[in-house]
Amino acid sequence: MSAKHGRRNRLVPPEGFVELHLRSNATVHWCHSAVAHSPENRSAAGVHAAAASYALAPSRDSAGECGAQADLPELGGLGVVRVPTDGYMRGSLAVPRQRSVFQTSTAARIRAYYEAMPEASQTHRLVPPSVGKRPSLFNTPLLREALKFALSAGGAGLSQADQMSYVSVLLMAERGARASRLQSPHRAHQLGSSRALAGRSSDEEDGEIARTFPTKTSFVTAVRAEQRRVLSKLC
Amino acid sequence: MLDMLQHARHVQLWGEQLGLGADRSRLRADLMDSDLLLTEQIAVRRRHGSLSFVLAAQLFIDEAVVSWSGAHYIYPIRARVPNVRDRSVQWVTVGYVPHVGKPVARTSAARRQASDSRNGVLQRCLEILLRRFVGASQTGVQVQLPGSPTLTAVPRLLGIVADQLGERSVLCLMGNACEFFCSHCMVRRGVAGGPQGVGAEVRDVTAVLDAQVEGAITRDRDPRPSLRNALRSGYSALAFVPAVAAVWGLATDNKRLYDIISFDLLHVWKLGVVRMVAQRFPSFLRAACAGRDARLGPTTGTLEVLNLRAWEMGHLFVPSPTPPGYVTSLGVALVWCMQSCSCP
Repeated sequence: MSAKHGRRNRLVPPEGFVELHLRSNATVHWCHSAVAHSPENRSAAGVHAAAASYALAPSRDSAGECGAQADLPELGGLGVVRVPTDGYMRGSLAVPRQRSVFQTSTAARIRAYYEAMPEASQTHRLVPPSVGKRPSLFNTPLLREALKFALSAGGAGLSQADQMSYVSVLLMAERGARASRLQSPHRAHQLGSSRALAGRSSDEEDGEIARTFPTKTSFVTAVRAEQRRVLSKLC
Repeated sequence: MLDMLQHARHVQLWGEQLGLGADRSRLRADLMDSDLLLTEQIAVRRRHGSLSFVLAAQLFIDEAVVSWSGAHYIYPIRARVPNVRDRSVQWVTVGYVPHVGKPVARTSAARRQASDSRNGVLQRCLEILLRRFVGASQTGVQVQLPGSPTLTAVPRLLGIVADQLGERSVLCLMGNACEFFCSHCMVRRGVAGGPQGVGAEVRDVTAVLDAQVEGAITRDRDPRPSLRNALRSGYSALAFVPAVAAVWGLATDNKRLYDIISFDLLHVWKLGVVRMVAQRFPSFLRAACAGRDARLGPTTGTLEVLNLRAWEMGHLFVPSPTPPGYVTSLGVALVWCMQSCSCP
């Protein structure tokens, strides 16, 4: 059947048939190249040139523009092939129909709009993320309260000089409390026996603040480090 | 936000309705049982699975709270995570926005330039602040909480606490004197408050945002104000894009962009709006409840309940510079009052 009636085989598109979704390109190509085509070189142009030689008019505009060339029999071969007006209706032939091409969502457009702005690429972190992974020095309730007071006293927090004064007061209070414990005979006996048993040094008997911040500047440095540590997590 | 969630002592991951009260009315306590969160929760769990939860966030923006940074006048943006139920952690300052003052020159071009700068700076600050939040709101973030399987936290912006000026600025809408002055609907100024204004169509989120995107792109190329006439006449919108709309759920799915605004009641009270409403409330009740009693009794009884609620609020009415933790409780109490005073 294919050999004897090759032109009636419906499984094989007829010679020179162009799919609908390729016809607009073919039409444009044909419009630009139709003048250059001639019957002599048509055979050498191959199937694509033959296909483009059909006057395909899926829209009125293309038909109007190329209508004059479509009437040329030497370029048309089988004549003018037009898409019927109901060719895109549902239930007609399985030709590509016009599709609604949606853009991306509005939220994605807004995100892309702002990410295209220069400051989005020029901004950089004030504090590197690695700072946020360090453990906090203010890890006890007393130290956290000291930090809270240093950062919130008077609304804007203490200045660095005031922080040094503040931690010096805390250190003096701790030393005073330790001295009062040592002066108490019952407590001193307990401390002496326990020190003898455990072999602990005098540094270990310092208060929390003195152990964590041996100098006043270390407290100021730790407060700034804590601010940077928290700030690194906000971005 | 995730840090706050992981270090909180009391965390509520999923919201649920509280049920009905003694008078068969629905009980509400805070954002975790609000319709806003519950509808978002349905959308999130449908999209991200049953092990996902809404990581709600509220923002507070008030341009009236201006401080001096040493270089600029700035006002803060504060954030709150309603999933964290610790009483100690409420509002955290997450950013500052530079204040753009009035222009020195009294020309329309200078005023427009200052207005454009004010709107642009606010939106770009919000965009930088919300950049990672926006990405996470679309894809979700894996969270490992102690004693629970790996969960997917899906951030959603469910509240912007601001006054009306702040609301219009954040949403890139024109001021109160424009034709479409309501953020929720398209009621015209001439018929608002009357019977003709009832049933005005709801403001279309997608249409307004698409128009704003187009307008902003046009304004970036050509700042002539004549090119913004379509936005002004059609939507009373500015040629800027609200950065918060990039957060998933505000312009997609349920499109709650215009529903997340919560007025700062204390700010409104200071402006005298609530006081003026309260003075007219007895007259309203007498007209509304004519021939019938309100839910809590006759008009006089209802007014006594109102006064009792106001007395119970106590110090919450006193203005103070503390962070606005009062907003939720005050809002809930006022809503409860309004519900209790409505006719059966």
